[in-house]
This record gives sequence, structure tokens and C-alpha cells, in this order.
Amino acid sequence: MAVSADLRETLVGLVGPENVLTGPETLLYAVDGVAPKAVVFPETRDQVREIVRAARRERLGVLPFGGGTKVGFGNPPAAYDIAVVTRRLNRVVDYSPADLTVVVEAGLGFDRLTDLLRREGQFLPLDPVGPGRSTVGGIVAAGLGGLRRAFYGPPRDWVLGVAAVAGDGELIRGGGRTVKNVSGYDLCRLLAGSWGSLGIIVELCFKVFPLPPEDVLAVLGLPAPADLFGLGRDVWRQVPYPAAILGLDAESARTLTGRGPAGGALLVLFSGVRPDLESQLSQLRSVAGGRAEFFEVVRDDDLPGLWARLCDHPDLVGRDLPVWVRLSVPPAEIGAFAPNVAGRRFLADIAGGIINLYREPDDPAGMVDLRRRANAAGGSLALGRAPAALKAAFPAWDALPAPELMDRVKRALDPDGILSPGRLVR
Amino acid sequence: MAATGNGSLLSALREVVGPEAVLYDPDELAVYEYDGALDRARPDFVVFPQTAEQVAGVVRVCNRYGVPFVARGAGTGLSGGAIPVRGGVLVVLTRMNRIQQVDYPNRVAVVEPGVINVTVTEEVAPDGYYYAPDPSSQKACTIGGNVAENSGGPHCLAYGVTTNHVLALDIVLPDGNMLHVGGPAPDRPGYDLTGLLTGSEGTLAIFTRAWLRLMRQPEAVRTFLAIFDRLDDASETVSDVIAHGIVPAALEMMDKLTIEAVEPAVKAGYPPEAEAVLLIEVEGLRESVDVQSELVRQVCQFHRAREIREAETLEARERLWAGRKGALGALGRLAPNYCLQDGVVPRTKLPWILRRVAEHGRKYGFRIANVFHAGDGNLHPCILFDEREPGATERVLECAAAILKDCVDAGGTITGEHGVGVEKQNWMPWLFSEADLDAMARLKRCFNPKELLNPGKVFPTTKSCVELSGDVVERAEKLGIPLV
Ligand SMILES: Cc1cc2nc3c(=O)[nH]c(=O)nc-3n(C[C@H](O)[C@H](O)[C@H](O)COP(=O)(O)OP(=O)(O)OC[C@H]3O[C@@H](n4cnc5c(N)ncnc54)[C@H](O)[C@@H]3O)c2cc1C
Repeated sequence: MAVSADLRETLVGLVGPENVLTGPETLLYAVDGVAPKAVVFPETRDQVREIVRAARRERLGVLPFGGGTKVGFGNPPAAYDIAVVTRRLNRVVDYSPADLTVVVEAGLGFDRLTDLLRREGQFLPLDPVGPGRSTVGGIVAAGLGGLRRAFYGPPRDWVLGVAAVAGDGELIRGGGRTVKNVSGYDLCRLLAGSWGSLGIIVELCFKVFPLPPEDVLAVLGLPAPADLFGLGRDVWRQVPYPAAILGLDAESARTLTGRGPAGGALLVLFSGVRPDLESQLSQLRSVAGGRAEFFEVVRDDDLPGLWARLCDHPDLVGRDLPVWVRLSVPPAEIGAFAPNVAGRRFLADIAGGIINLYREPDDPAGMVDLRRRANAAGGSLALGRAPAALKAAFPAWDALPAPELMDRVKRALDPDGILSPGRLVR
Repeated sequence: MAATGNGSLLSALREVVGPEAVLYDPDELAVYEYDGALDRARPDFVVFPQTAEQVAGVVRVCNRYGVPFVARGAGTGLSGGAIPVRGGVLVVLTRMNRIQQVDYPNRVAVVEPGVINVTVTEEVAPDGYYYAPDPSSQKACTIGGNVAENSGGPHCLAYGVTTNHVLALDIVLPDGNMLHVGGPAPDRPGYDLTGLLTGSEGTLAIFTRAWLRLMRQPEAVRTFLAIFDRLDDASETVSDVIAHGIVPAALEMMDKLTIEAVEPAVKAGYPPEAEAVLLIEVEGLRESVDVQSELVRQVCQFHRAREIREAETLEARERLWAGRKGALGALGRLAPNYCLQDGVVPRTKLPWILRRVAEHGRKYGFRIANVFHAGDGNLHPCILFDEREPGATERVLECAAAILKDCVDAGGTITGEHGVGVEKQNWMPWLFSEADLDAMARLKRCFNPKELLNPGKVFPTTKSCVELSGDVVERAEKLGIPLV
């Protein structure tokens, strides 16, 4: 195609031939079955600007691409010409442990950042899916809360500053490098959860936190599935400061913990100093009472591996299942959805109000009903991945609230609608 | 509607909110021409809506007549956010002051914008909960103002500022349309408009209801007063506490001049001969609080704290805090006027910036008190002056600018929690490029295209505030307000 030849030439001129793919490898960057015409790997923010400007001149659809761990979210792209892979934008710009802040480029892998912070006894409690592959830019652009979100908050609470290339090709910055800052509108929050539709994030400043002295994870096996959410909510109410309360179906519990109690497993994470952990565990025991058939405590060297596997739930809990449904409801309403997950594979964040449900693409009517119920409870339902046929029949997101205003915001930063068109907004 | 005639704006406003809820008598308006900052501008009308529908009605009337309008809470803002620099209608939300719902299972309180900050915590405290952001003005300021300014407070060090605690908003857009954004469920699809609106300084929409996150009271709290003979020792203690992996619930500093003002007024028990005190609060689970307290003590001692006192009783704790929360009020007695700034530096730069503040004070000839959120690196240099002294106001602003420029040069910012407002708008280019500011201006136009809502704020202008406010007589004539 003529466009492709020109496009390739333009892109090669910007980043060099070794950083442009136009052959069959572009399939690796397919989104909802559509491969881009070209894949580029910029190394600097100026290159990102030039790429976006070139795309804008030709009205080409551009998708920023991090580690690809959440590429299944969103509606199929309305136009997908160029994948801008951020992986080479991966420098640590400034890390000041004593200030509890770190400035990094957006393509930095979360695991690399975690290693860097750990050496100073610090961390960023985001628990992204696929921690080994996800980039910090992708985590923020998706904005999804991790497994400890009820305790630590979603990614946007950790972003102090942002730089992004907007759809008009301009570099825009919001926030700064201090923990407090109210100068100007909060572009950090606006870009968090914008799914690449307002700007390509190139740099982020995060607030970081001291690592807790110790973590322990209690694994409670339940005899019957009916009680999982109820017990989880009781724990949330009665035991102070759990860092996470998770629920797993029986089969997933077996995959991840080695034991598969009939009613699934409740996992409760505590973080802090030893005596507090012990007292929390004993409070947990008394709340659980006779409701758990076993009560194990995972700690020390056994915990990080298990935790990483939990974060990898789309691949492990969801193994072989093509549909990932992410249900978000006000936390106290989560119990009402127990019947919807019965007999299916899921990982629930019971403290936060999120259920990751994995299933076959059968029963679209059931999905419609589930979304209606989530909406009625004040929540929403998103598809984390699904075959194209299901997405064609069932929108990946709920209807957006305040759609005209969202649309205006989109046009303000991306006047020609070239960034991730159709994925979140038009 | 019929064309505008003399007095018709007045009657239209009266029709929306009722005749007793509109002020236009210049004497009554005078109270509303300032907030907690230095600039002044008089509104032409003040209205007190009681419902979101009335707010929308007022906004529609303003649109019809093309007059600007500005939301106002308690008027404690410290950047001129609530002063109507182009006149028009001031929409005061203090009569919308009900806590509408408390939902403990979801840990959410639903409140009207005029609710006073501290009343939220008072409402839920008996059940073991609290609302974390606690500006020192919390007994007066409103939730609407807090959301607009993204206010902080002493206890925002560990738990974050207002934006971390607002889950959803009902808003009236500047065209009078009503919308709901956000919600108590996590990770809603779509742009985080709640996050964009928080900290928008009353320039994007008027909030008519807020969903606030409640937190459970900690199991244990310990409060310390560390007393220092040298300011440098105190500020080094601050960054060192954080560097030791401790994030206290609060870490506040007061210098000698502040103590001098506070003690006679509040009798908090701060030693008058000290160069600085730190108020440190540690909270959480019992054991971790003990461990952290011990570390805090060690760090203070390492930096030559002369004495470390612990509040042994609730009463003693409240007394220590009364000193901190009453500090600004007390400083007001040391001089006829003060100019309070709000710059932020990375915490490790605290010792340096405090020395610079003192140098600027000497250079410009002002006494400057420091009482601030040290753990966040959020300074509050309070420049004492007398506006009757010729040229003093101009010099104060120069001094403030010099301090804030230093903050920016140190990698910080010009405002941490008080907002840009009218006073600091022309310093925004120190932080942001033209492209940054232009993007923000475009975002503003998405909400406020005619700039009728709170015009002339936050972004750089070429005109000064006084020019913008125009001629009172001319404005009054245009609006059909009888001047006598
Ligand atoms: C003694 C003292 C101590 C203070 N301590 C602190 C502190 O520790 N931390 C801190 O952050 N601030 C502090 N402040 C500043 C001030 O109290 C806060 O900014 C507060 O949030 C302002 O609330 P208010 O109700 O007084 O708002 P106002 O001053 O009335 O208004 C402030 C801004 O909010 C807008 N606004 C008000 N209500 C609404 C609404 N419903 N919808 C949309 N916009 C609205 C106004 O237009 C204006 O731009 C202090 C002030 C004083 C005087």
C-alpha cells in the first residue's frame, strides 16, 4: 500500500530502520485481531512528538503500546496504523529515596522499578497484572487498581507528575516532583485511566513508600462457596488494616496455593511489624471461627512468588479462558454477585469491590444481565479480553457517564482524534 | 426571556432563590469582597441557594445576562479564589450544609458543599471513623472549598490530600447543566473528571454534592513535641525521619516567631526560647506505633533535640494541636497584615529553603514566621507587614515571589494546597511551558467556554486584578443596580 511505503519512510527517517517494523512482526502488536501498519520504537520524547505529528498530518490512528498486558481492554480500534512502543523510553530520570519520589520514563518495566526501589527499602504498591511485562506508563494509562488498592489506592494516587505527548504533537506536563502540588489543573489524574486516548505518556513522577517490615498472607479454605464474600466483608469490618482481602474459586486456589477447598479460598494480607501481624492473624482467626476448614499462613520467602502469581491472574486464574470480565462495584455490594461467579474461575478483591471473572464467550445475554446488575449496584463492567465476536455484540465498557463532556475533553487534547481512536471514546 | 432592563437581573435572581437570599446593598456586599488573601473585589450580588436546582437556576440567569459568577464557601481561601475579580454574582453555598448520608459499609459520606470540614469527622467519630483531610481552617472552611482547592492539612502526610478522598461529585456546569461524575465503585470507565475538577479552584464547575471517603480511626496514636535550639536541626530531623522509612501521620514545624505569637494566645505549652518545634504524630497499629515512636525519638535526639515531650493524655494532645491550628490566627496579632505563601520543596531541600526564607526576610526588611507541613516539604512562610506603610504591599509581593522562585529552582512548586488564584497566576510560567498552559486553557474551555465562571484566575493574565475589576459605577449601571 502506498501509505505504508511513505509511512515507513517517514518513520525510518525519525527513528532509524532498526526501530520500525512493517512486516509480519507487526502481528505481535495486533489489537483485537487488527495489526498496525507500522510499529515504532522511539527512544526519546522528541521522537514521540515527531511520530505523533507525522501521524496527525496523515490522520493516522496511533496506539501507545507498553508491555501489552492490558491490550485486551477496550473496544476495537477505529483506526490502527501505528503502534508506538514505549519500551525504549526506559530511563530512570531521578530517584531521590530520601524524598520518597522517583522520576522515570514511561516505558520502564514495573519489575525493574520494583528492583530499584527495593534496594532502598521502598516500593510502589500498584500490583499490576503481569508485573514482569507491564510498563509504568501502561499501568498509569490504564489506571486500574491492583490487589492492594483498598489499602493503598489506585495508581492515580501515586502519580505526582506527568509528561505526555498529546494528540496535537505537543509535549504537555502536569503536576511536578513534590508530594503536594496544586499548581494548574491535575493532568496526572486526567491521564490516569485515559487508555492512551489523550496523550502518550512519556515520563512520570511517582510518590513511593517505605516497604513494610514484613508481610504475611493468611489462606483460609472454605467448605462452601456461599460464604466467601460474606466472610471477606466481615474481615474488612472487624480486623484493622488488612492490606488486601482476596477471594479465589476452588480450582484457582488449587492452581495458586496447592490446595483446593470446595468453597474456594479467602486470602488476607497483612503488612507491618511482627507483633501487630500476629495480633491481626489472631483477630482474623476469631472472625473466621469455624467458617474456614483450614487456615494457613504464608510468609517470608514463600510469599513473593505467590503474590506475583496472584498478580498474574489473567494468565493463571484465567488460563485457557478467552473472556476476562472485570466487575467493579461499591465494595459492600460485592456479596450480591456471588451467584454470578459460582462455578466459575475468578479472583476477587473483596476489600476493593472488584471481581475478575474468567469465562467462555458463551451466554452474551448473561453478560448483558450482569452489566445491568452491576450498574444497578452503582458499579460497572469492563471486558479485559474477549474474542472479537463478543466485543462486536457487547461493548467493552459501560456507556460513559457525561459523554459529551468526555468528548470535549478528548478533542481538547487530541483535536483530530488520532490517539487510540474508538478504544475508550470516539 | 425578555431583554435585560434595569433591575431585571435582581428580580431574576430573586425568582430563583427567593428575595431574602439575594444581597445587593453595598454595605452588605462589603463582607464578600475579600477572602483569606490580600486582594479584594466586590461582587454586585450575593446569592444563597439552598438546592442544586437553585444553583443551576442562578447559573442560567447569569448566562442569560452574560454576567460572571463565582462560587464561594466560607471565604477562608488563601489565594483570592473566591473573590469576583470581574464583579457579578457570588454564589455562596453555606446554606447547603447537610450531611445527607453516611454509608459505613462502603465508607462513604455524601455531603452538600457548604458542610464545614470538621463536621464530617464529628458526625462519624462516634462510630469510629473520620474524614482525613484536615486543613487548619477546618472549623470554618467548607467541603466545596476544600474540593475546589484540593486542600491539605497536617494529617495529609500519610493519607494524602483532598483529591485522594473525593469519590464523586454532583456539579453544575457553567452553562447551568447538572451532571454527576465519579462514583463509589472503583475504576469507573472514562476520564477521571472528579480528579480534574478537584483542585480546579472554582473555574470549571460548581459542586453541589460530594461523596467523601471515610477512614477508620487508628488503633493507636502518639503525639510528640520535639524542641530544638537550632532551626537547621529541626529541618534536618524532618527529612531524616522520612529517610528512615517512617511516614508519620503528621509532621509539622513552627519556628521561634510563630511560637512567640502562639503561646500568649493559645497557651499550647511551646517553650518560648526554642528556635523551632516539631509536632509529630505517629499512628496505626499499636506495636508499629511504638516502633516508629522509638525511631522518631532517636532521630530527634541525633539532631540535638533539646527535649522531646509526649502528650500523655487526649487533653495534652489537643493542647499541642490547638497551638498548631491556632497559629495563623495568632500570627495575625503580631502585625496589621500578613502575606502567607505556600511553596513546596522536595523534603531534603528544607534546611536550604528555610535559610533562604530568612535571607529574603532580611533583604526585604520583613519578619517572616514559618509554620508549616514540614513532612510534605510544604512551606508556609508568613510575611508580616503593615499595608499602611508606603510601598510595603509591593515589597511583600516581591519578597514572596523571591521565596517561591527559590522553591521552583529547588525542584518544587509555587503552591502546595492554597491554590494559584489571583496572586500567583503570573508565576505559573516558572513551572509550565506555553504548551502546558495552553492545554490547560483548552481543558478549561471544555467546561467554561464563555469564562463566566470565576474568570481571571489561575492562568497568567496581562492585566492586574484591579484593572480587571473595572469601574464600580459603570458595572452597577450595566447591571441595573441602584447605587444609592
Ligand atoms: C487560618 C487558616 C488556615 C488554613 N489552613 C489550611 C490548611 O492547613 N490547608 C489548606 O489546604 N488550606 C488551608 N487554608 C486555606 C483554606 O481554608 C482552604 O483553601 C479551604 O479549602 C477554603 O474553603 P472555603 O470554604 O473557605 O472556600 P472559599 O475560600 O470560599 O473558596 C475557595 C475556592 O473554592 C471555590 N469554591 C468554593 N465552594 C465551591 C463549590 N461548591 N463549588 C466549586 N467551587 C467552590 C471558590 O470559588 C474559590 O475558588 C487555611 C486558611 C486559613 C484562613
